[in-house]
Amino acid sequence: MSNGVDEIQAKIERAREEVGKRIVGQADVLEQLFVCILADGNALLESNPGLGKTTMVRTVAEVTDLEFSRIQNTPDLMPSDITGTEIIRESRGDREFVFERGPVFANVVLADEINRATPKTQAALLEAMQERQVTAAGETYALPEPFFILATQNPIEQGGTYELPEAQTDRFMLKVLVDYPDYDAERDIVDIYTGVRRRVDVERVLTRDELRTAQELVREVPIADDLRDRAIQLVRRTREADGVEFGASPRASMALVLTAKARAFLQGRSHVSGADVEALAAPVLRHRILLGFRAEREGLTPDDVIEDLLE
Amino acid sequence: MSGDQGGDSGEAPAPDPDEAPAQPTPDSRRAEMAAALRVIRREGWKAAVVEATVEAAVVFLLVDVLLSVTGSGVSTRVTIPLASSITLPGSAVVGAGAGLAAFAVGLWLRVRRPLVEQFETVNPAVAEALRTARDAVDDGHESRMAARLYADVLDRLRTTSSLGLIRFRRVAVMLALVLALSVAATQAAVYDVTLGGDADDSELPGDTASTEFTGLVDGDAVLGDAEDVSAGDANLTARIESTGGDDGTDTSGPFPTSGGGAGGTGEIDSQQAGFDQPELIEDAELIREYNLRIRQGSND
Repeated sequence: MSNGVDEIQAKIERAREEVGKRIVGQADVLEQLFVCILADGNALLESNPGLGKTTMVRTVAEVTDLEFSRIQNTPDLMPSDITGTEIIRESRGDREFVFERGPVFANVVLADEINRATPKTQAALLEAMQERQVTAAGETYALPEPFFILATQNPIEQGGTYELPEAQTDRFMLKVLVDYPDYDAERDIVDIYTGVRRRVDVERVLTRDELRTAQELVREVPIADDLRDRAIQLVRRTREADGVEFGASPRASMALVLTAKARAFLQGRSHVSGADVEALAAPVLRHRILLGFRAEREGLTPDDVIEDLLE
Repeated sequence: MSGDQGGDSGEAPAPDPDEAPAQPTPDSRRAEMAAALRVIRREGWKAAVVEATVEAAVVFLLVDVLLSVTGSGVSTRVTIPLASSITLPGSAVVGAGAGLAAFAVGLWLRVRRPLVEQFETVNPAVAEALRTARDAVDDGHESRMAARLYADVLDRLRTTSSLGLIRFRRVAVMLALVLALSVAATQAAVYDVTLGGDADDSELPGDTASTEFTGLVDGDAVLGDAEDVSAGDANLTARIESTGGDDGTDTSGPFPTSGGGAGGTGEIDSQQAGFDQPELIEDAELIREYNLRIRQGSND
């Protein structure tokens, strides 16, 4: 039994290394992305353009043998463009309605610039994300397992965008901030992608079944009572912290504990440590905290509030 | 300080792998972990008892010495109800009571904090894993990851030690205190017996007279009743050298005393040592005056 766990942990580590061949200088982001996948959650990636978000998600899908699809959100995108629609198909003289599945029917769905879609389309996507199923013309279609939505949004160019409501951002397990790489990493990126080889090959090292097993194992990772209580208390304190208008929901408590377990598993441990909770506090809570006017005027960010709470 | 499985080196307990089944199940792993936790708790109890015992000994001796020295109303002897032939000083009984109370309080203070957490404190390398395993055992977890955690913790416990549970510096200080207080208690007991500092046990005939000089008194009242010299337990010959007289008076003779024959070169010290304690200076003055008058009388 233990050997099976070790083997899966080794394969996940190998998958990280494979993705790292293409994505340089984003170790923390990669870790959070894998944590989100192992915790069977969805992630919201926020960064400026050109930082390799799409490449990162596509590569993750490649090394894990998952079906990948990409949705470029625009203001004129309709819900049916995502979920699919019924079309009339003629066959041998008969006409019948057939459900044509949309791009959401994939294991890994990259929803680029989700804040450019209309609220109606966002709602359709987020419903699929939450329910793991799509309903069209009275029929319900289950989405494939495993299923992840990795959505991106741009912190600048807010014109013509529709900011995600708090109720919908709460459904993202993590909000991952992708920052600029440092000089050495950027130099490596330039060397890799401007050489003779136009493409960096990666190897598929993890099957879907193994990924599903890993997700089950993550839920089995024990956590000490005091650490679990600490995570819950941290989330509860966001509701009473100075400068916070609305704090995080109990869903955040569940997300914090589960992602802490996933990080422990990712690092080859069989138990959650305090460092896991601390490392994932900001990604789990930053999009679930709504700051008050005064805090915003003082230049505070949700990460500042979370850091204070951790101290 | 060692666990049953830890040996004399104080190694933390961990089941012998040779005794483990070839393919341990999550259930058996949990049982092994539970057994290891029991041993850890037992080690914690041992450490607590050791420290509390030393502290109780200090309290016992301290109270005993203080009461013996101050004599605060506990000079009476107490007979043990179940063994009437045994009587103890009151200070010892009060000290024993205080020691027992100190032991109980000290033990409670030490075991009040969970013993496994105390073990974690002195073995930080295994702290988080051990605490998680403890909670998992308590919650009855037998999953694959829990079994892996138990195996991991049991393996890491081999490199830990329960010796840190005992604060050796504190125990050493306490033992030094016990030694010092034991010496003090012995001194107090010896003083009580030999010197008889209190008048209760050492009254001598004639001691009821005031030591303040109020003029000449009857010699028998000062020197005690006349004794048969031949019945004495020691005959001392004192030679008194006088620098003032030269009449050839033979002053040698037996003195009715059991005191040591500490002779001195002075004219008076030898007689003084023969009759009474040298520190009773009032008596010495009195004897000196007697001698002077006798000498004047013989010269006359």
